[in-house]
Amino acid sequence: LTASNSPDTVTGRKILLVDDEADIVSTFKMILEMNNFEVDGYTNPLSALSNFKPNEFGLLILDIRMPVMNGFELFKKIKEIDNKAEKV
Amino acid sequence: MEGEPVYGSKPAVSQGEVPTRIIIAEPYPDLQQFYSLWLRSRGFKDIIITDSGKKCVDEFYKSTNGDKNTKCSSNDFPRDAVVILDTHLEDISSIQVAKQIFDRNPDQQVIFTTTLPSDIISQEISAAGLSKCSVLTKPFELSRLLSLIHRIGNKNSLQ
Repeated sequence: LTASNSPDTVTGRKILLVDDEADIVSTFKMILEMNNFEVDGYTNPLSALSNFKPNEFGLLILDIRMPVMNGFELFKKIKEIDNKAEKV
Repeated sequence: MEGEPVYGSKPAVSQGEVPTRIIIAEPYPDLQQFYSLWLRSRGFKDIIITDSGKKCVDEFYKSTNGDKNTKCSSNDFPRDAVVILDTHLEDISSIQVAKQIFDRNPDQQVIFTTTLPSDIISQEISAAGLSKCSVLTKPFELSRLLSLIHRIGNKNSLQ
């Protein structure tokens, strides 16, 4: 779980959600959107990374156990793009 | 959808309506909502979610056309029902819930979801003399739960 701002400032900004299980992504996305958050969901961490832009997201929700690249590795790569990203 | 963002609130996979009745006892409201949305997105329409063991037993008895004191025939049971019990129920233990359900229908299949080591729950299940139980240790992949539900539903409907 990472954020470039503290969680209480996520309102009004997008959430990046990455989990290799499609049902987790789609269901969490539904729940977050029902709570008025805008969500970009990915099942592939590499795709999430290639589409990541600094300052676009207020909160990143990353699954830890994923094939290809785990959540910690993904966060490390994101940190290279956006060094303001922090774990919460 | 691999590699692509999941846009909109439409589920990633939509299926036709699935007849299986699912009764869930889950104390955490967020997980109740999650189960409800996820199962509906997977085509299940007959879903009963309770927040306590007692309510779960009550719902199970209601769904088998009788109360706790009424004997019923095997025809009364929904053939493809699946019961999912979290092991952290606050009022009565999930093992007790399962026992009461088996008292009503010895053929009922029950899935326990737990954060405890699965061998602890399995021992409790054996000690209680319960059969036809499955244990899923959290965190589990939803696909595992889904395949269990389908397997149980299909098995029951063939009986």
